[in-house]
Amino acid sequence: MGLFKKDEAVKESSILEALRIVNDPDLNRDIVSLGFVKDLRINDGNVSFTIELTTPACPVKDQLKAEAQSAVAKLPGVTGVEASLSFKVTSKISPQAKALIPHVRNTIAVASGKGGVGKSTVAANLAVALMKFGAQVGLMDADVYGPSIPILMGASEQPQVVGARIIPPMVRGVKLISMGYFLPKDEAVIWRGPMLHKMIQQFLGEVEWGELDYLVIDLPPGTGDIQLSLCQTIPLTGAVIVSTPQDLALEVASKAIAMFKKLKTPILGVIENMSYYVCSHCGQRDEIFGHGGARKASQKLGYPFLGEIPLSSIIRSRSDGGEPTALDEGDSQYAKVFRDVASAVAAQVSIANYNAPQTVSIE
Amino acid sequence: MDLVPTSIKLAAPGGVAITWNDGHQATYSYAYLRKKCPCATCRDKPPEVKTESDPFPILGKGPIKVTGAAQIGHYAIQFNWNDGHTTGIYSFSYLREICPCEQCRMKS
Repeated sequence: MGLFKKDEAVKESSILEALRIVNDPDLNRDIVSLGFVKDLRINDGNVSFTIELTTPACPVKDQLKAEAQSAVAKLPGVTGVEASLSFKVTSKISPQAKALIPHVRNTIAVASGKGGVGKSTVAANLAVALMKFGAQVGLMDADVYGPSIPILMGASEQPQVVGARIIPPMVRGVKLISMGYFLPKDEAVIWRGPMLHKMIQQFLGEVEWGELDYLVIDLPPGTGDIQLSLCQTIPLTGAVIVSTPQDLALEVASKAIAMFKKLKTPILGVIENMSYYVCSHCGQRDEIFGHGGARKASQKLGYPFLGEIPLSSIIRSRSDGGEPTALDEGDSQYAKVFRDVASAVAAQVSIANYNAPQTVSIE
Repeated sequence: MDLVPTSIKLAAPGGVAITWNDGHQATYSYAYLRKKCPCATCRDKPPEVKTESDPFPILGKGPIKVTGAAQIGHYAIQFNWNDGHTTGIYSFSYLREICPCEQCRMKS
């Protein structure tokens, strides 16, 4: 302290005041009133603090850190600034969810109206990408008719049953459960509604999910029993809609959107899969299903557009081989595509939690 | 804005009292709410609702009453009744639609 005159000493209040100019663009508030600034330490002119983000996949984390550092560095008397990042995934747990999955912070359903748009591929890569960012992630394959998640994830371990609880295997860093585990290879699920309802309840309540930041739920196509049961059993954090850019798929996707709207399940946004094809020989981009259909549709309906994923033989062969592309490190272009989509989804989850209405009090 | 209840009091004077996020408030009598049950069985054949005390209460269950309720997802509430009925899922928009207050009845 002796180096400065008293009026030049750096005060906590003036640092917090300076940090108020740093805005989280997603939540549209400054990081001080959001309570993101933690562990503020002042040692003479050296200031250090942590910015606690709402997700490790925050798309603007580096920007926030740089803005915060420069805001504080400008203050008189400050000689050094050390900002670090941490994260605590936010959540809005309802009494219903608490009874079934008490330690799962967020539930994200991956849905589409039409089948064959790559919903499961997107769900698997979304889960892996969120895990790679450092989140604790589970993946529930609720597509009982065509459980493809175990193949996509290359799962060889089986779930364990301990007492009345099912312990999901950890596959590529993600806790996984699927009907595929409980069914011989050539058998099919031919069930009526009540059985499907029971399965959803068991996959939530009897599986030992433990502590998760995100539980990604891969739904079957359509707007049937499984979708309804899931939306009734727990209030989902939100749903993401997967569509190809073609009019036909978008037409059916709008049915899924209408269903979630009716059930008041927040729609986190739309992901466009098979957006374009890049020829592996000449590199020419071919827009097989048309251009930007899902982006236009999401904008028209007022939902965020979460990104486009190309049609690629690499993604296809890695999916069939059970090694999701999102596992790749560094500058793999397809891993980056999924990382960006996961960031966009995680940002929307934070926004949904921030805007979530109060739960109804029933007494 | 989506209209959703903020508070549901199951044993308010006169029945079930609901307060909405737009400030609207109303009390639904048990008999009215039970008669308006949206489940398939009740829609097909409206339920007989007992409103009077039984002259021999030891035989019957007395007038209709809500005994419990649970929220269903983000969009609805399910009531349990003392006549054993539990299958009615009342969506928030349906509850608002059948709001028995004078103001809402005038509108419809």
